[in-house]
Amino acid sequence: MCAHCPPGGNVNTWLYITATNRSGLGVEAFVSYYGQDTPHFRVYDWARTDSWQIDIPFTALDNYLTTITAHGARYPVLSVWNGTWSIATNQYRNQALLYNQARGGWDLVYQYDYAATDAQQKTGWVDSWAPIVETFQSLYVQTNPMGALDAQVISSDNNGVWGTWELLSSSDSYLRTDNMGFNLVFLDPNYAFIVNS
Amino acid sequence: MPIDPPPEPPLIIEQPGKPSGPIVDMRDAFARKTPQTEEDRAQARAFIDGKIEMIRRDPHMTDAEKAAAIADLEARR
Repeated sequence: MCAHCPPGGNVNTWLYITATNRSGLGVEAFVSYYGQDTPHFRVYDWARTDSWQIDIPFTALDNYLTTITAHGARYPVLSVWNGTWSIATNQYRNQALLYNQARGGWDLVYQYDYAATDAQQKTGWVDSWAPIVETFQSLYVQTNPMGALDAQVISSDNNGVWGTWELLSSSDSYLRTDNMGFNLVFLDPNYAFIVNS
Repeated sequence: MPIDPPPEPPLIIEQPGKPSGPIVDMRDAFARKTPQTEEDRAQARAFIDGKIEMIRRDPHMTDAEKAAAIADLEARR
């Protein structure tokens, strides 16, 4: 997830860079802006009634933040991995991990095991595994660039065998524009995008 | 069906070709130390309300799909 600190422009309430893993009771691990405050990394677990589980300001994430180049520009990045899978009959696990840039490896930052049926995970609202900029204002102006780079997805087959990580493509995602003032800086269909306003 | 944990995602741009170290359990450092507050509950409702608004604006969903998704989310508020 590409997230400047602060978001700039006229952001004066919540603004998220997020994605689900298309599980009904999965976990959302995301960048949360509130106005021009320091952004936070937050975890919202859809399997729990006490859903807010992690809330860490970027100022405490030095080991996890880096800067990378895409399309000739440098972007601040927090690498996030959220997963949900069955660990036993009617038992699921939600996980969130951050990539520790300082040591070069993923850190497990959140895990929750819970009872659920396959039907609960596959029906109802499951949202999008494509990253989104989730808006809370009617119009955004002069915000810094934000978005997602290198979005990847992996899934298992009906025998529980994992496939391989694949860059998100136009065959499993689509571009959605809500006309909230954001303009596309670039799009690599569909695993990377940056918007500003 | 129970399945093994997924393999780690490769980092493509950040460190091309560099093998990733083992996963380290840092849950204690990140874990929430306090119980949910009324403010958390209000934020959770706002979080779900935001999803509902997003569904209402979704140009790719049918009215029936929107109604079902919104009903599901409202039940979780």
